[in-house]
Amino acid sequence: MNFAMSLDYQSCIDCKACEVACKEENGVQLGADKQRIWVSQVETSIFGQPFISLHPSQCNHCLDAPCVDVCPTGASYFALGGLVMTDKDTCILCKGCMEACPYDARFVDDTHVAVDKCSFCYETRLVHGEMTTACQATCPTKVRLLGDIDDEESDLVQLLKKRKFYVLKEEEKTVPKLFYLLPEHDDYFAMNSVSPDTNIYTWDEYKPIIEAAKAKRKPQWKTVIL
Amino acid sequence: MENRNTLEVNKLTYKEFFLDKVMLISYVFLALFFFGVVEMVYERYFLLSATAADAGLFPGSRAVAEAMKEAVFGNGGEVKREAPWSLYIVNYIYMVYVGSGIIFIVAIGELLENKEIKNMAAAFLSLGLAMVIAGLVTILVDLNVLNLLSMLLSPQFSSGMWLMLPLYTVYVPLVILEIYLVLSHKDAWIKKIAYAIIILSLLVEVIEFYVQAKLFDMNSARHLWTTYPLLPLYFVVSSFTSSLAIMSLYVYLNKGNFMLRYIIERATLYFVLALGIYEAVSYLFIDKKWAEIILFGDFKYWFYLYVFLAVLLPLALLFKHYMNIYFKITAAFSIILGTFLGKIVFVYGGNAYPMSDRFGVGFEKYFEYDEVKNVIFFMPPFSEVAIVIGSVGIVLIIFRAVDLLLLPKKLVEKGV
Amino acid sequence: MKVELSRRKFLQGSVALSIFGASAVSTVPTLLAKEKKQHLSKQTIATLCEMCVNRCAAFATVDNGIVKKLDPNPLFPKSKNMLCARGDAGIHALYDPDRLKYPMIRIGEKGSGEFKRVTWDEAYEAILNGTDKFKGFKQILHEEKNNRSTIAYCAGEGMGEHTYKDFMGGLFGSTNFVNHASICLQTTISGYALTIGGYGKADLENARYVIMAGANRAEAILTPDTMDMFKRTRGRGLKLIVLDPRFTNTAQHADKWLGIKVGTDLAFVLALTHVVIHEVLYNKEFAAKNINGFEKYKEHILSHNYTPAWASKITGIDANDIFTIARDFMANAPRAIYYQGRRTAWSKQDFQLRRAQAIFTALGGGIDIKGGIIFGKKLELDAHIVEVPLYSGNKPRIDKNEASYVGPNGTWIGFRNLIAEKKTPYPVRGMFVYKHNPMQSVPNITKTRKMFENLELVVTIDTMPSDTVMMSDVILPECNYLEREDPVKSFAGIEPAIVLRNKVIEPMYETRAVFDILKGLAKKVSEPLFDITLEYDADLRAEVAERGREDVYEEDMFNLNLAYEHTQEEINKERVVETYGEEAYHTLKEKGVFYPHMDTYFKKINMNEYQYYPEDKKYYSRPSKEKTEALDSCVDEKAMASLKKNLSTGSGKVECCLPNLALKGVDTMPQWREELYFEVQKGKFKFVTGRHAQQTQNATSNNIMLLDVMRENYLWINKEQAELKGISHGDWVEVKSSIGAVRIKAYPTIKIIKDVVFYVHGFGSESTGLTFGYRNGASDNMIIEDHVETVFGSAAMHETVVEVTKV
Repeated sequence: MNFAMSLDYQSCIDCKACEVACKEENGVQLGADKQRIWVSQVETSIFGQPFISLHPSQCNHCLDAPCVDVCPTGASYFALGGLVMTDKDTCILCKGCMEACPYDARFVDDTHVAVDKCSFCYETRLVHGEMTTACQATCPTKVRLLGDIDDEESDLVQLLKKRKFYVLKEEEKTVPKLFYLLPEHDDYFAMNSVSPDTNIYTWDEYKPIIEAAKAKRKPQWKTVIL
Repeated sequence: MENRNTLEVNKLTYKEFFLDKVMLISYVFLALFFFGVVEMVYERYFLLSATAADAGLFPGSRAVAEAMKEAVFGNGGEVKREAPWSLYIVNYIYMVYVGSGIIFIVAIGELLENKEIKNMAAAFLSLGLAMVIAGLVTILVDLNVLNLLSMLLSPQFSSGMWLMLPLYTVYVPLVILEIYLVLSHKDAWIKKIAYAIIILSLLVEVIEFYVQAKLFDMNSARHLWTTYPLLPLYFVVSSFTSSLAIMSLYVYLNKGNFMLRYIIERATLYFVLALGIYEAVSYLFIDKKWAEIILFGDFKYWFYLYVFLAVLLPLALLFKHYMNIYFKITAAFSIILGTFLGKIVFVYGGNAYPMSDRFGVGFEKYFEYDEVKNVIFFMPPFSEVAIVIGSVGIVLIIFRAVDLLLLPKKLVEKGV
Repeated sequence: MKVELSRRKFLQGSVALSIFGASAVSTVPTLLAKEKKQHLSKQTIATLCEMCVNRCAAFATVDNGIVKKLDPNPLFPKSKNMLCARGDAGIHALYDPDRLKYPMIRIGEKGSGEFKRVTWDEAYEAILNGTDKFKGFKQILHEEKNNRSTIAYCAGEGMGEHTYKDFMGGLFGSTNFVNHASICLQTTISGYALTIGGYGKADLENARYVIMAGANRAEAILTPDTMDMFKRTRGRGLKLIVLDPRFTNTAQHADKWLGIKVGTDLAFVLALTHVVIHEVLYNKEFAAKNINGFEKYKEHILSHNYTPAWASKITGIDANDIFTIARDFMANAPRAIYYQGRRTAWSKQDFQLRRAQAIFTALGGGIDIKGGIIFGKKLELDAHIVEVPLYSGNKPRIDKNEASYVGPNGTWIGFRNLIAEKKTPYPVRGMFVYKHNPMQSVPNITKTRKMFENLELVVTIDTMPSDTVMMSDVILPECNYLEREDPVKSFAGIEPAIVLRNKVIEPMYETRAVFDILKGLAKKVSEPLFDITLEYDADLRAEVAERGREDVYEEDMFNLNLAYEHTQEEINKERVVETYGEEAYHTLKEKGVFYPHMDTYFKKINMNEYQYYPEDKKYYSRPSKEKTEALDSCVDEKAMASLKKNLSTGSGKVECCLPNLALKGVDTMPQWREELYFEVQKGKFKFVTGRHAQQTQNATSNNIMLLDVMRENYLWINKEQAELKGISHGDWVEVKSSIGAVRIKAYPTIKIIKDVVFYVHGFGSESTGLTFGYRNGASDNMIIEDHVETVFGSAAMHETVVEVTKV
């Protein structure tokens, strides 16, 4: 098992269903800053015309996650299934993981006085054997697809074999597992929604990167602490 | 007083001890500190904060309603997700580095058998220790102490943050031992041990500067910290500058002997120069995104004020060997304040460039009606400011207590 | 302080509990967490969302009697396995701390918000007999000689609306009903119905070219349109043209966004029509067979010279764009739709705009065909008929002369103004309000307040202390949609289905379903009202003399209790079983959704998508003789489109010209009326209002979860113009019209054209009962002037001019 997610972000309409579903599903703290997942937007003007790209986002569950390395207590750890998890009972709130994360994916859950973040709905869904997250299930345009990238037959790998994709801040060498699907049929949108310097991958190109990172980190994968 | 192996405690009345002028000042700071702590504890552990599930668990509850309202319409909790490290960390690194800087310098002085420094070693060491403790207390306040035990239960040997635990568990007793030995090292064999201890403490200190740098350097996405050239060196230079300033201040205030003044003054000047050169060079290497914010962007006034206070003004005041003591005191204060400002620029600056340009097409905003943030900066809450300012009280009270009780007064005053 | 700490601990404990519970049933062995067994009491119940009008199917997870989560129910073809932010936040409607919990009666001045908690019986008693603060049914009906229409009633959209109308209009007998239609899509519905025989449904799953004017499917979510189209925009099969003064989230997805001037859409459509007619691009076969009065319309368009050049001056849209769009549209026809749109009338020409849109779509043949506007099929459901008594002396509705055509849903502004200005033909002295908040939803709040002040008995049935509830005399707390079973409902469409809202948990506090509220009221008032009727109806007295009181009371349905002999559950069961059998009913109870062959048709395609009906079983068009014959041989879509239709209009064809309209002085064909349009004066702005995907009108203004993702509304103002006024982001500004002023934060943006300002509807409640919604943001109806379009008396909401000043 190696959980990952693709995001067909060109279909996003910023309805925020995913954000609300996530909060309800996981009992996340209220507050605009307290999001396990979020939809961000970049607003620009291209020749006087407004241009907006919407980016549904959450924790990348990086295979080579810097947030795990900095944690002094193991509260931020790799779990089986390649998940990056947090354990609120051992978190001492040094906030090092928040500094280490290049994606601002973590926040402080004031109700537990601990760091919180997306867990791919592990506690509420994955542990039951469900293979969708709350954000994926609720989405009107079905932007997200969660899957097991160890399984070549999974819907996710099949999709990634068809569509080109990229990951965020690849230069940070975190080997993220949110795959942003490059819009195929709208070059204008595709060009303006991501930097031209970004590497665009096919599955065959990215798979070795995943394999290498997994080999490096797999020994650290632990049983989930609940 | 000859051949003493044990510590001698000065005889003081309670009144002399507790109503001492410095002690009185420390109470004011401590009051501020405790006020901040109470405020912080209330906000962190007692203030209601609501989750999405609370409404269903406590239907119709007014308390939950108020908590939900605060969560959504309030100022958004203690820690800001875009800038998790704040004034606590600034104070922590300042206090700890500057404190251990003093200890380091004293240790070097001892090694070099510098008589002037040796004479004041105990005072300096206790001052350094007091600062280290104040720094550690600040960081303890910042952490969620309820879970602190997990540092012991599940140690993470490769985490810079965790390494601080064994580091300070060794370091603080070592320094206390050092003080003890300084105050009582007349026996030959104790002298030998003292050397060993000093060398050991120097070693630990080198490790400390390395670990502290690692702490920042591990945050690979915050390029200010990762591209700062020779980060441990920066910590050494900037803290030693400040350490020397504090030491010189102490010497002035206690009318220390001329030679000692001169040595410290010159050392300060060199370190100020070094710091100036360092900052001038370092920004050639620092990631442009961060450098722009700090040198030309929102942080520029802070940065230039830092450079002015920590480098330019002291340079002007110390360059020539003026006899005016006020010049020197001003220079020392200027350095102390300036380097603190430098740490603010360092910590806050590290978070200043938003992480939100994840797609390389511009900074993202999370809500349509948000304003796009080009620079991240949050004012620390009042409780945090109070704790940081109040932590000076910890330094004062520890130092003064040691000073009053243990330090052989005559020694200092006579400048023997 | 102690208490609060223990609460926090308790919270942590309860969160932990649910997690342990989850791990016990893990089926992913490799992921098995530490085994911690915990008794599970979780239940999943099929329900139906009521956070907006769409009615998406949902599953509610109930744990120890607490609704923990709402998830999409993938079975419903209309909602296609999704739940939007509002649907997900339904839990917070249920557990809103400010919910109306008990019946209450007013003890302070009207509108003061001073109420007293009473029992249900006391509340009913107050409605019947009044209190020292207000009059009841008895006094009022005596004074009005049993003119039941003196008690008006209104309702917002909802599944209980019929239940309520059956009581108020049928059993009680008032004619004065007004609902959201005239502040909603009255003109659109009527325009399309009169022109092509129905509002229909845009087949966005198959359309290739869509012009969406004013409609904002990304933010005003409509199922299944929203899901269908945004999977196909951006070069994926659906070319989208968006006309809107604002660059909406829908416009983001558009191939072209045209920032049209407010109120000029009709000119744009007429110009498109002109191009198509002038260049003979329309589907000639379709026109010949299916359009009535086409020659006349052709002549009309050409003679008025509605050229793109002409329209360009009015709309601000480049003439070349109009040419291109008209040509592209027809090239893609019949899979080309000028999207109908929903919500309120914008301008005074709105009805004709909708007619013109419908005719333009028809010119390409995109009516009643795959990829066009289709009518689909509705699965039959046995009707539930409530027999009602006959009252003599009931007067007709007060607002019947307030517009050319006033239907049974009335005209809110006309109706309101008559009462507010005391100009009603006879006294209207009371009003029942159900799930409706006219205080916030009807333009010109000051006048609506006046109306309520003029009414002597105001009874509100609602879940939340809305601004309207604050104006009432008696408050009857309704339970939330998750606490009741509602009438079973059949949804027409390409993929029709029947859905049932099952009760998820028992009603909290002392709330009741509207069905039970009315049942209780009927019990209380039935006999006394019959007595009053007898007193003022001589014929009825004669009947009683002849047949005996008991017989007349029972047989002539004056016994209102007869309508409530069966429970809502029993009625639902009967209606379903009658047509589809027991099995179908069980499916509805268990799965919430039913349609014939669901078990074989419904298939999972992948983790995200499902098949509801096989392609060949979908109801794309209505059967007609010619079509059935042609099905085998005909493959060309344009030819398919041109086959003889069987539309529900008078002639069975698309109606270009409606001569009857002339009788009421309404244009028989869409025509641009210069006198109904105005350019905004320099320095001022036209105000437009609109929707947002995280709020449903003003019904969700206190939903903390939705406020969490959108805290308040902001004033959109063109960035350049804002800069000239020195207004920057977050500045407080005053927006002032002739009827009122509000203060709101500014959002200067390039996403809105010049001379127009906007803020979203649903904020700025004035009810002190709303902890989160009270004075949060600004209310649009504080400043929207009460203009109406004269055909149906619909509120024309984009005719208001405002000034914006920094404060």
